[in-house]
Amino acid sequence: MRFNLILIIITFLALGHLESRAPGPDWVQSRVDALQPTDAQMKWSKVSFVRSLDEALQLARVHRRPVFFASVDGELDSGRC
Amino acid sequence: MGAMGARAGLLSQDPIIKTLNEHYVSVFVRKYGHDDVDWIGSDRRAQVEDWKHNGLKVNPPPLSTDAGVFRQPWTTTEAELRLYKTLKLKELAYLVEHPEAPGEALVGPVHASILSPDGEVMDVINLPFRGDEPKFVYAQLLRAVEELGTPPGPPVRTLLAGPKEPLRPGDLALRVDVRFIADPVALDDVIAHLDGTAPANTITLRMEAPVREWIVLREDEWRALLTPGRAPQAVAEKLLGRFVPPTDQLVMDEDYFETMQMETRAYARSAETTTVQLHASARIKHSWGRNRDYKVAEFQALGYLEVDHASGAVNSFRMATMEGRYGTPGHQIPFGVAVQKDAGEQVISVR
Repeated sequence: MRFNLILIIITFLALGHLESRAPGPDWVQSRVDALQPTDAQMKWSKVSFVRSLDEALQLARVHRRPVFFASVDGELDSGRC
Repeated sequence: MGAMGARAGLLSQDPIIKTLNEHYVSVFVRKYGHDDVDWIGSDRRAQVEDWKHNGLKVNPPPLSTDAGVFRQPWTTTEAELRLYKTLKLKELAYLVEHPEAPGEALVGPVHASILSPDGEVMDVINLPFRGDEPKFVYAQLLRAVEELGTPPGPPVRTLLAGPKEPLRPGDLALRVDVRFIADPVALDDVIAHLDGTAPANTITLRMEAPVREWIVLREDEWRALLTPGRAPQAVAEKLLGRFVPPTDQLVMDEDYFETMQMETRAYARSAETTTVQLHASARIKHSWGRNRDYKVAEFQALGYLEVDHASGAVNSFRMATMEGRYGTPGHQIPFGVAVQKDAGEQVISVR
């Protein structure tokens, strides 16, 4: 019983030690930064968009501009196809 | 051409960006082009039958219209249907012989149209074949502008990126960035058979474009993470469900996760702030898109959530994969996912 208690305490301390060895917030932040897309990969976001074909047609009439309507396979904003 | 290809190709060309912004009103909508029933592809139909046979879910019932059949009816508006019908009647975007499969027609809504200010179709761009040739698209854009005599001007409207759902007080908007660690990555994509044993039906994609999405945690959801112990299942699923490689659109089934766990541990506490550590891991089979095969995404992730005592608000949220792998045994590609509190650096949002 006493051995079990000691074992539990040792295990708890060991786990606590391992936990403290997990990388800290700065490491996670650096990892987050490293995973950001590059400017070149986000260049597409410089294109001005409207939300729907209805809105595009309405604005086209007002501004006398042509509409570029593209229906693509996937989500343009997320990049998932 | 898909969204990824559009972003990395056409829409990364300076002359095209300039022309669209100065002369056009641009709109993009998403379609499952190749999954629309009107796409006469025997391999796709076989795949759908395979899915059904194996008990996998297929997308909701399609919408049958005069302009074709749409597998994602919720993405198709009346205005779009009118346009698709016009294109079909004029045999513009809808009847193009497949160059690699004579006798088969590539039809459906994946295309681009140039419309006059009054909504008349002026030109059609066949994206699957011309989308990777920006010079042709650029020429078509210029031709329409010259024909109309449209003077240059500032963009008419620019959307901002961000969560697709409206934010409420207390909500925590998180930006999720996903990418393969080494890109471009050559990724074999089995387009017909679940077991991937048919080489003729395997294509290789080069994945170069990262994915950026948003998650919104309601106040009760992120506050639940402050309590050490196992994270609530719903919160963990909401957060970790986005930890998949930058491939298909997400369609989460009931059996999305093979394994998943997320645990919160106390990390630091001061008079001003409380910080908790988030440990997560999961194994997700490739069921999040249309290409259901035997690939699996696995990851371990670590994160920190810091809350300010005085304001009760989240100071920071950051989480990242320590390790992520996607593929089949022996053929795994490393991928990474980063989540952080949205700093308001917003770009665009289209549906």
